[in-house]
Amino acid sequence: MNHVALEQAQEHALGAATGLDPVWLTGNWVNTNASPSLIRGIRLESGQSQLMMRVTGADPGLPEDWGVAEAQLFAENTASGEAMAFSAAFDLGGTESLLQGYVVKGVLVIVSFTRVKDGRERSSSFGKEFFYRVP
Amino acid sequence: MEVVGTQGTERAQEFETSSMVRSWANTNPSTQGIARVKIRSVEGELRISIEGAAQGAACHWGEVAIEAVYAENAASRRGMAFVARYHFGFLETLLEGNVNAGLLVLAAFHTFLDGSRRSNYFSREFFHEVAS
Repeated sequence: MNHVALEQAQEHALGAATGLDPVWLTGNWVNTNASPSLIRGIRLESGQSQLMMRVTGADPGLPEDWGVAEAQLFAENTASGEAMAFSAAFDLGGTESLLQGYVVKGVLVIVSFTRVKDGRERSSSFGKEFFYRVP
Repeated sequence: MEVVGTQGTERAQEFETSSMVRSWANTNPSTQGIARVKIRSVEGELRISIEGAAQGAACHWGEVAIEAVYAENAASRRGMAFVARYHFGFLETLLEGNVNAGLLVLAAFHTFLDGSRRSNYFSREFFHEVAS
């Protein structure tokens, strides 16, 4: 079996074709910081075979509603059937934000890579924010 | 070492990137994932090379251009994060790294394309600086 690291040698007992269970990720998430720098809230919702992500922004230089993007799901290891991380990209016009998310002990950690595309006077920037799940 | 990627680092010249341009070793010597990382600057372009954990000889992933560099905030010119991608044919790996207080945090999103019974997976590992 092809691999580029030892951790890739193990197969899923049930087969990857069954898809990953997003139960740890789905729901509404609110920033732990009441004055967030980039993202105020997140909704993660299961579609037919994918996870859809809606972002409510907090940066005054970016839209408040980022819209919806499909999130790609990832497990903790090659043999797991549960999704615990995702990656999603949002095109915000003159900027683009690549988001990576993962859940640790009930906290959703979002790491953002926001890239300037239109030459506006701000640097492409990196950020990390924390979210808790609400009903 | 073969340079796999050909796309230049977008806007890397606009950033001060010395905190990233180093050789790095995993803080976990028993890692099953990524053992070592090297980031170097070549004519204004940043390149990354990876050594995967292997039994016996190291598994060299080759060298690719870093796609984009990111500052610590929108007003800063201090580059401290990056994105790069490896295309192995059977596997695509998206790497997202950031340096903070001398520690490189590297997140890797692995997507298998070979139809094997392996789940796409995410790893997050930590690296300290080592001599080149």
